[in-house]
Amino acid sequence: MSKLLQINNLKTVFYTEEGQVPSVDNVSLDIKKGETVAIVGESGSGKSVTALSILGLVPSPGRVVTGEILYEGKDLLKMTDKEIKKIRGNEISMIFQEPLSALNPVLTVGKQIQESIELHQKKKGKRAKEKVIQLLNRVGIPRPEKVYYSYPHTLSGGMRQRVMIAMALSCRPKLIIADEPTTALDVTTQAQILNLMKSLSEEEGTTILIITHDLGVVAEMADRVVVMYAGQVVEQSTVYDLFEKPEHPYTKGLLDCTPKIHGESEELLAIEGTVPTIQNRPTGCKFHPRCKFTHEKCKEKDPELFTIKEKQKVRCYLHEKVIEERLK
Amino acid sequence: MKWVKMLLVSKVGLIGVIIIILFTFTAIFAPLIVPHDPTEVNLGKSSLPPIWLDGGESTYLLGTDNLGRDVFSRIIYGSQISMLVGVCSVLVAGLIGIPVGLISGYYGGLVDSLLMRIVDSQIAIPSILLALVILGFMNPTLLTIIFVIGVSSWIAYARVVRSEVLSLKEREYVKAAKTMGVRHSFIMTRHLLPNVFSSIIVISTINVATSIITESSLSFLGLGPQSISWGSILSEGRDYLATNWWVATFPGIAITVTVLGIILFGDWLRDVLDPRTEV
Amino acid sequence: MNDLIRKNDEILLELKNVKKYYDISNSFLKNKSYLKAVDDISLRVRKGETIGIVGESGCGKSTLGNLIMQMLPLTEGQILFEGEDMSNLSANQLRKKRLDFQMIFQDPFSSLNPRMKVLDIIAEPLRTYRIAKGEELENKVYSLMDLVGLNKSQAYRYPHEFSGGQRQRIGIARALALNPKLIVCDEPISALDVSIQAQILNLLSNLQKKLGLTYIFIGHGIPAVKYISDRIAVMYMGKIVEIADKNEIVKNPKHPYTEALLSAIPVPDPKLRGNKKQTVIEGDVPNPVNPPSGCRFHTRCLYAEEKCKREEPQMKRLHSYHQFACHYPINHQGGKEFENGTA
Repeated sequence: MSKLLQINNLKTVFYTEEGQVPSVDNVSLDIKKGETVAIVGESGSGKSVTALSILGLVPSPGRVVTGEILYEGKDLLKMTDKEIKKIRGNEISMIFQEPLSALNPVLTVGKQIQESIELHQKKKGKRAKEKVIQLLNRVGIPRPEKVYYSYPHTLSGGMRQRVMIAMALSCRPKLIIADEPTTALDVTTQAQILNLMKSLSEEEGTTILIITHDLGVVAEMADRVVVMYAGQVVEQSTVYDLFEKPEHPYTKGLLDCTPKIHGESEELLAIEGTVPTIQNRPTGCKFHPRCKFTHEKCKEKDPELFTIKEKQKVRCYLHEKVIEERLK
Repeated sequence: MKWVKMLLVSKVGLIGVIIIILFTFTAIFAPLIVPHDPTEVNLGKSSLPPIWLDGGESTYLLGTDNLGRDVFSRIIYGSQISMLVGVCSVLVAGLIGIPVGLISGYYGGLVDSLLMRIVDSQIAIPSILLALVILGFMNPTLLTIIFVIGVSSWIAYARVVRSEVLSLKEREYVKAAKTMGVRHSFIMTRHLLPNVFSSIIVISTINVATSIITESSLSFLGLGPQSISWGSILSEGRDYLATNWWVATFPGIAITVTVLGIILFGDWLRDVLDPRTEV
Repeated sequence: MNDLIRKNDEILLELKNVKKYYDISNSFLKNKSYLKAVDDISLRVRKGETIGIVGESGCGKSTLGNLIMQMLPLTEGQILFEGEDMSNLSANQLRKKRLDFQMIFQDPFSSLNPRMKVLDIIAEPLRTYRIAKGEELENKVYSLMDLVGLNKSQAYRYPHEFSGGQRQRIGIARALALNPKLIVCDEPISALDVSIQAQILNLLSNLQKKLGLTYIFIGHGIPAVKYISDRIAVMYMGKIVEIADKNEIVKNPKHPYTEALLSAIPVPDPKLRGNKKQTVIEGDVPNPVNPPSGCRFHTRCLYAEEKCKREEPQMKRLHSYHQFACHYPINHQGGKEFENGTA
């Protein structure tokens, strides 16, 4: 499979009164065609900013300072505004956490999707409307003819998210970036939306980059997982390896501290300490103040991302020795 | 300590504070500063320009008016009334408007409707008209002027405080206080009032300015406190703008600088009172 | 099987046919209509236990929490705290009673007054009831801070200097200040980061053991609710549709809605992806102003029959620790009649 998107050494910085704050710090990842990749992280991990950087939507005072984002071999960061707008509308679509704020409250749902279709697919009038109804149907909206004339606020959260997905699909994108698409939804609706996204990926081969904090969602959806902490990728592997044998202490901690529905209720193994804000990131390994295995080296120097086996990379000194031995 | 540090860090605040201290100082020590009696008529020296212009005289710093009274001395004396009216009428307005806004927003319902209808009916009457009506029954002394200006401008406080309280009272910390059995009066003063303070400061600073101007309008209509104020000097000088422009200009500048000082001070005060401001 | 069925358990809180209707009648059109936020809920909470309340947003679980906290007047029914009917109390008596039940809130960013120092926030309930002052007050605050894992050197800081998890600890310390018997936790972890949620859950559960607290834990994440609770009540459109011991309800759900809720939870194990039993319910929660006839869940239920549209199911008893309201419960062999009863 060829690479659809490749991010190399991306660094996105926010310019604040206290100086430059790197939100995304040297992140590299790639997504192959047809794959579903998940970025997992907590607040301040830089996962959303990574996604926004891809589309050139980083809010001010943030800016991408270094790195490249290759989409089908072309660097998105070197494109003009006009070129990137074309990519944004036609090739890559984005779904947001709160669909209500992403939809225009004074236009009907149908109108909004139709505008997008008329813009991207050169279909007009009746044919465009037919296409809208078809799309609403595709995302599982009952009575699409009626919903076509509804305003966003009259729909439930799940319906709105479906409308967002329909809108994202309207330009037949190759890549959908979904930023916490189900966080604002109830579990039952979440399951419906996840099923819908899965079917998109399976039936239409859409590539999906999903950003989430929920390991359950990751386990349901992803082929590969990128775990981010404090602006860096700390672990990267296939979904099966990640859940079976997490290698970074943070990933392990995250898995252990999530309550399981069928598990026994012994004490949860919480990760102590607090999530660092982007202004107060520690030196050395960003996770060392909360890590059980911290030694002197972790406090001084940031570990690099060690490749421990094919498709699995870990940013932790615990794996340095393993690599060294293997090299001998 | 934070206050002092904040003053040194914020140049804007420092300028505001200096202006306010300077004007307060001149108002208090006016008799010691002025070179002439501000009411002394000297027709021989009438319509003298400021000293840096041709014909200016050294003891008449900012020139004289058509009756030969020293403009500088009059402005210094005028600051007493203007500052007093500006600050005190704002206090009166705040003392009425803030509690009304708090109670109206917090309790809602019938109390709110009732209080807001009073506010609405007062909005319908121009404040200067209201002041004229009240002054029709009262003697225009300094106290009544302060009262009248205060009464005609409290609605701004009531409305702004009410609308802020309406959103603040839905915050969980207010709910938390209720679940703990904290008394309503306490919730209003400890939880709501400190959080509407920044808006109150913004209205107050603007209000000081408008009060000084209202006082001058009343003086202009002959309903002022019958003593020297910036407003009265300004309105007297208006008739002679074409020939003796300095008579109206300098009190105008005094008003502008004072208002500016108060606004800068208000901005700084708002920052100081906000715990989120880092020193 | 468990100690929940003992006859002489002490009942701390009892809800009897509690209803909260909001009048949304249109006076212009003269048609009466009500939003039934909480509709006929009966529940007994034993001393020292945790009852988890789960359901989709809008099911009335937060309203129920507010009713228990006496923040809203009841439309009908009774809430008895230690056997005493709370709606009969005068404002002053109620204020004294509030010492016994406190609340922990969802949003740690709006539940603390940004203009108050941590010391003052935690001391507020103590000052309100004039329990302590001066040095004694300060020491009491310090010990509360210690209890929830905060350092007393942080007492003179303002809330914005703390992270979400620490702020939630401040909120918990405030709720504990009056030595309450009951704490209503209104989604206390849903606004926190994943790695912090576990800390707060552990803290709450340790505090319960240490102080003998009773919790009503309202939440939408079922795994977390299950972790902290002894019993779980599932709410749908203002009603409790099933209530049981937590392990029982997860292993052996009787109400189709419970089953659907459980199967919708994403399982953090990719290997179970294919072979997990999926009973995803379609559609949304119906309009609460016009709830469906009969069983309110019948419009989305996979097993609905004619009877469900006509007749509203009553609470039935499987064991004394497992009750549900369904005509055709899941995996129910034989035609055994269930006793009617309330939780």
